[in-house]
Amino acid sequence: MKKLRVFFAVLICKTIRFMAKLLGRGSSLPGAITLKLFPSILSDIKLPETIIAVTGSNGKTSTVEMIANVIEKSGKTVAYNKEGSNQIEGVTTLILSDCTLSGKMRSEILLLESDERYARHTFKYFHPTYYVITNLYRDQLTRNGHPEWVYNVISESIYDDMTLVLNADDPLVSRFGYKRDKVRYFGANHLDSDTTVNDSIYNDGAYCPVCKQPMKYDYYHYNHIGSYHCTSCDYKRPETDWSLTEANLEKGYITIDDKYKIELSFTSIYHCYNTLAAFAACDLAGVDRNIIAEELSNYSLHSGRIQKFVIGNTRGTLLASKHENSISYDRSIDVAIKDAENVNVMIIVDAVSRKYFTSETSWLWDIDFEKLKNVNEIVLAGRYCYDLAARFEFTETDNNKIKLFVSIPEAVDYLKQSGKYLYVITCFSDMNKFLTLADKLEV
Amino acid sequence: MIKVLYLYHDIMNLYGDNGNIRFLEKALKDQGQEVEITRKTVGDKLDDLNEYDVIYCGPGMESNRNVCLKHLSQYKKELLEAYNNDKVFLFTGNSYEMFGSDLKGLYDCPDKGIGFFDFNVTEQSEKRYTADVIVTTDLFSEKCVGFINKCSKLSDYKSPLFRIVGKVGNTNSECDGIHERNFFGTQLIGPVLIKNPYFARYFIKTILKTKEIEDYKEVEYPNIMKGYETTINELSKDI
Repeated sequence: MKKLRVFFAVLICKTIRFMAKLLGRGSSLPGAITLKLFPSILSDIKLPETIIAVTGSNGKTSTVEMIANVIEKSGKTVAYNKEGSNQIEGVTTLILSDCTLSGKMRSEILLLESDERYARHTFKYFHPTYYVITNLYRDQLTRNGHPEWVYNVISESIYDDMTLVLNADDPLVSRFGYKRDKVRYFGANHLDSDTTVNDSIYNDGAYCPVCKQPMKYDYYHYNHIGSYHCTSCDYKRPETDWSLTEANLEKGYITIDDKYKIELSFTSIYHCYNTLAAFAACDLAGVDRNIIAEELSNYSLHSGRIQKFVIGNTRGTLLASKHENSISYDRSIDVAIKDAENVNVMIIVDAVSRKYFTSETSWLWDIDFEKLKNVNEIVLAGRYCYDLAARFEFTETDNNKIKLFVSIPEAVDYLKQSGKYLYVITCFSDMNKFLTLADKLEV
Repeated sequence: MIKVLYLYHDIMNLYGDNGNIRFLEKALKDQGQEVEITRKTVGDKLDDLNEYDVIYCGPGMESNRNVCLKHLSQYKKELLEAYNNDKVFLFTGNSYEMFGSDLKGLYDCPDKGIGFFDFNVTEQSEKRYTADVIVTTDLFSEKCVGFINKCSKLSDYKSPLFRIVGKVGNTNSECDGIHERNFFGTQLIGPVLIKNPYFARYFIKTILKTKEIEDYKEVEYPNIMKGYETTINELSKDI
């Protein structure tokens, strides 16, 4: 009976997948239909011995892409959700598409990007061997509630047999490992770019996640990411199993565990963390560390996070950020202001989300836009340009530097003539509205 | 001099709520007033509550709200004195839930609120209620907008601040908040004063009145107004 069920489930899923591809449909539909017919099919599949799952607010897609690349280059086969369908339907499509008709996955490693809210449904049916959690930020509160709400939801997807692989520098994430046996940590040692004060708009590490008493930080890498300890209980940043021992963002490289030097194609602190998380996961998957370092070196992401472009006389870089996610904006701003006086910055908020409707712009007030005050010119574009403009009124930015355009094409026409290097900061929901008007360049 | 207390600034600040304090400071200065903003948090002494003209507190994660409730409960007498002296309170999101009578909250939640108002709060951990809303009020004719993000159910209260007339998302009540004397409580989170120029106008006028300043100056905030109009239009399309 089980054999027959598996046979039909795999067959149906693959057939629908084939047809869906012809029709240009997404990768979650085949899994969705199969799950309707066989709700617990995932528990009937013979999965590979090594299953890696990655969840968290930011960096899931990039981290998964890097892990997949390293594993493939090391000569092992890996199945992963490269289209980012990270809820149970997409995961089902991925797994069944990789199966023989007898229900055995062909790939040696299964690698999953898991939506932080849906992992609890997926992991009812099977458990990842290694469960990587990148960070927990204020992210899409219109869906997610708040970081601690998400923490509790993720907790429901964690089982004793999993090895958690946690970001030690994020106090809410490392709490998953508090008083737990099967846990490993990655994190950054003291870096030259650290600060001793948190100068961002808010500090989500101000209070201990365990006992709610004030926390103290020895240093911050950015926002609430750093080295912390509770002033009351024994909660503190744990010792790390993989450490970023150097991050030279000027020269564009990092060093892991004082030994493995990795050249970066994109120098931002969050890319360093994603790279470190990928290093840890590949190490656990049994790839030789030298090979990991070699393959991560100069790896440029395909998932379109960073896009160089030309418009008219103007060259620039688009930094895909996430609307409804202030930390992702803060990090993009850090990239844009490295040479502040000589660059223009364009911010587009046109559709707050691409997946659902919301008109919510509170998150703009959590972004440290103050840091942009020294750039040459700031262009605010899209339907919500007035919300952006209102936010900038409460910074020290000279009002003459700011231009408003509801129309993105008009904003682009204006910027074409400038000739100054342009950073465009916007979300996946809006970036193609800009990129279709630009010539894309290979990174 | 108008004295504003930003209560629990570092722990009840869920989502851009700092905008409310930024706006208060600017708008009161635009009215020609001197403004002093004081920030206090858990562990600080609050025995001088009656010395402030405005007390603002934003929303927080439920566990953080519990910490604040325990702290604030020590100052019931001072809160009541300020309230009876018509001091202006703005408590947004779950912070105003602290003023109810009985609480059945998540985590380590005290079962009694400050008890100013006769309503009960019940929280659950299964479902989050999040919604973009359009609301109306008896205080002025224009509509307001906002974002609700909560896991609580409140019993009906006789004088709500807002009535929810349109929503995108989930809510579990038709009324929102409290308006008694100069206490303004609302479940809306974020920079409500920036998102709602008409509410902000009413609120600033209320503060001035308590200081016996009669001449409210009409000040235009064109970007804030256009932002508000954008959201009203966008939400109206979807409701």
